[in-house]
Amino acid sequence: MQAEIDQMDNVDLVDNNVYVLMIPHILEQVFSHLDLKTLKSVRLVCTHWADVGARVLGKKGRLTFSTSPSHNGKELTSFNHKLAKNITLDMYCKCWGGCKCAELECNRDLPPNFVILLPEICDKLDTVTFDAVGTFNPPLEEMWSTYQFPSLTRISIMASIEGQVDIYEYIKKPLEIPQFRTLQNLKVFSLIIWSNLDQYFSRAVFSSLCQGLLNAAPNLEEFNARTNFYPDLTPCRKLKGLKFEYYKSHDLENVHVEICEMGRVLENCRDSLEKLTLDYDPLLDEMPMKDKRRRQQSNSPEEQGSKKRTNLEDDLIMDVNKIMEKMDAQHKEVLTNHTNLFLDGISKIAIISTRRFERGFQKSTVLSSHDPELVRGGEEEDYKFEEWLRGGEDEDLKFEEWVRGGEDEDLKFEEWVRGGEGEDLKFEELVRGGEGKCDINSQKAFAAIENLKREKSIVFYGFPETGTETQIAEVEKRLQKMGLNNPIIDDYRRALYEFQNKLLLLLYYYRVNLNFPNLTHFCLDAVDVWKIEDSLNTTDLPKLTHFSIDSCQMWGISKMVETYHLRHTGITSLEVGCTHYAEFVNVDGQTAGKLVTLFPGVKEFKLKLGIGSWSDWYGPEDFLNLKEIMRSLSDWALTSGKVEIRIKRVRKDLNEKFIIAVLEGMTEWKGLKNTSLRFYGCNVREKFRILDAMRAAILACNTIRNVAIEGFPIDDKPLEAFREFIRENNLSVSITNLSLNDW
Amino acid sequence: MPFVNLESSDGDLVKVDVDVIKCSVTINALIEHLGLEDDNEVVPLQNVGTETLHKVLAWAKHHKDDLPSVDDDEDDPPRERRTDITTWDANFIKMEQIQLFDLILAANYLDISGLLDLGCKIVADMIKGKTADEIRTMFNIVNDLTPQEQEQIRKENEWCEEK
Repeated sequence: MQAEIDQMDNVDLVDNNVYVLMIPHILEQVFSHLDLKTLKSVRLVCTHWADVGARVLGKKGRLTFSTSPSHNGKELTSFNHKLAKNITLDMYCKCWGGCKCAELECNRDLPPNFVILLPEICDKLDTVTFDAVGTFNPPLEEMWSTYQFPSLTRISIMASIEGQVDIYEYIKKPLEIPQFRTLQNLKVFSLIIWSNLDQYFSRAVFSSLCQGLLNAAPNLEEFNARTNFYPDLTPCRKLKGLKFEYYKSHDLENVHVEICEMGRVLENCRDSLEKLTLDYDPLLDEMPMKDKRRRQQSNSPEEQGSKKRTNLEDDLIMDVNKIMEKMDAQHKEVLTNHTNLFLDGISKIAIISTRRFERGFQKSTVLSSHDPELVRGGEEEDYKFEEWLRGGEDEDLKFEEWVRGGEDEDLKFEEWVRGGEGEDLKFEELVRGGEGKCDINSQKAFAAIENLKREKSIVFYGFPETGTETQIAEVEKRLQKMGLNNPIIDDYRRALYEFQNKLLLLLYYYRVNLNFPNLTHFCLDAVDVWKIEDSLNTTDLPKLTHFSIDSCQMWGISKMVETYHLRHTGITSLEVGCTHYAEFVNVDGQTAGKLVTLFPGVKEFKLKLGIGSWSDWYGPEDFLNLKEIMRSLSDWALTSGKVEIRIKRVRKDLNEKFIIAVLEGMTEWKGLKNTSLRFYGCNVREKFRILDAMRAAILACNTIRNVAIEGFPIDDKPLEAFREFIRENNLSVSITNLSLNDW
Repeated sequence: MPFVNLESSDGDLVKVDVDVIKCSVTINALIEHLGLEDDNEVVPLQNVGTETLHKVLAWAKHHKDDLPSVDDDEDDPPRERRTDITTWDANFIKMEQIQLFDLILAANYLDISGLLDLGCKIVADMIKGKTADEIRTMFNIVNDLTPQEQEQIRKENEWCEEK
């Protein structure tokens, strides 16, 4: 600064323009407000501007290095070190075919130009982004262990692994966490995996790299992960933001969120965490073929799917009761019984029951069902349960043969139990919980079998995602009938029951135990998966001010807060994503007001409400129900309100009535003048009509900040008349016509 | 000491509330350094003319109650600068180019980050969308780049994309 001031004395102030625009830090500040295109222009003004411009351009832009020869045409002579701040590495072939990229293994090596330049630029890099298809562990590990990256603040890895990757190469390798050089300045790490790998494979390919980077980043502040393994965050003592999205692999039906494991992940950043997002991706769009086929058989695919989901819990309880009854009747003769019940986001139940006779695990019964029909051996050809049990026609699934340890080398049951030759399935190793061969819950169950010298029966029982209080109470009732009382419950709410020295039962209550003294923002994007229930209170989350909830399924408001009972007065900002389908025993009208009771301090409210109707019938009481939902939210004195109503798949003449019901429900909102309301029609083909009741409802809400109606096709004449009505009454309402050609 | 006398490079004295000028790191440092104890003490500002000083003080008075901005890391200038300019600031900054550059120099000398950033935004607005030739003409800058150097810069720029 002083040097510049001294310089100033010697300058002819007549030409202040030139002088001011040559002071480097002023010039840099001016350039920091420019877009990339203009920045490129200013570099051509003069030598000095070219130099200062390069520094800013490097910070604002990025350089891409590609492994694909056809997209790696940039010559090293056109490289300027000052521009190398933000680097993207494209590690995949971008060709449309006919190339030789596969031979060059584009997904395996770092881009050659980048490798040449890395020693010179590694100390300057600010952000590095990997965009990769396939596996890339070897070059990456070498990169982090060989070079120093003192300026690196952000690493982003986006990777998808497809079928062509030689996974078995990784399975053979032991899971060792590599030692990387310390990344002292690394603040943000993002690992987004798009893959259809099951949990074990995904862990094998990615978790060692992920853990190595976490271990090397003592000052990490933000970690975004889309994975199906659970990293250890112990080294990240300064972590302020965590976004964790568990993705479900559809290759392995039993893979699900392990709440206990997640509890351990969160425990390690309990004191530092300020922002937390928990999400879940059930990959509904990429569901297994068998689910797709079943849906195609239905006349109304969406309807079928939705009903299944809605009735999910009833089915579960029914099935649980059936299982327990069976167990009741069977356990006297069953020496060992291992039952593992899982339930995922749709309606999938898998039961594994293992019986033990004289010679150890001689016979096993595996039940796998997706719904009761399937259990009965219903229509689905591939999964005819009865047939499968009998060891029917399907060669691959000859059950008896499998149990006998028959011809199929890979599945010799006896060998597996004995911990025989099959390296991958050594039972002993499984019991010890070696190398992540099975999840923690199964390890416990197997360990219990081992501890009991295989003489007692085991029932291993869990509620992974939808274990509500009602369901748990139902099971406990059943257990009490069987004489199972006073379980030992540990920190992760695992309960251990013993019965007549024969039956051991592990009952898991899957809930996330939240206790974060510094958490201010909490986003629960899959409220149906991540159970928090009574943890949402001012003792466990004393600083929480921003709360956001949404569900993977089509849950209504009351369903979403069904298990929350404690008020949180500190929450001032609330965001809710939910649906309203009247056909599904919708009680939101009576209970949505619970939101106001639970969170009375809300000043900022954002509601994303999806409305629709699956059936042709929609009665007047259903509109009253919708109106009541909106009315019950009227007591907040909002300083900012944002309501978005998405209307989809409804039959003729319902759109207008939905809008009227919402508006009528909002007339008494205390924060109406600070609230924006938007109606959006999704896939609407029916002509939209402006009814008198709608005009009246809009007038009744005339203090609202603004209303937007979009996505509905309207004829020109009524549209113009409505606009005239808006002008006459000086209303803050906009309406956009949707041409059917746009649809 | 609620007031301080500022002496412009033209020799004029301007009495100003210390609370108003606290936004200037330079003046705060001078007051502290010179150990000024009464209202008659003078702080000399050799690089700021009277007209510009009045402009600076008008801006400082208006922004007296603004919350202090978070200090930026010198090595890492802010990437996401506020791009919004208030109506008051927009009216305030309407002036001839030469006055604008005097004001930027004064803000730079007095170390008033808010005012300096406002001036830089205005200059950036003047530059946006213009070619190198147009920029040179506007600010009377001499092109000292050879055609080969320009070609090299073009090549370097080509490699750089939006983040």
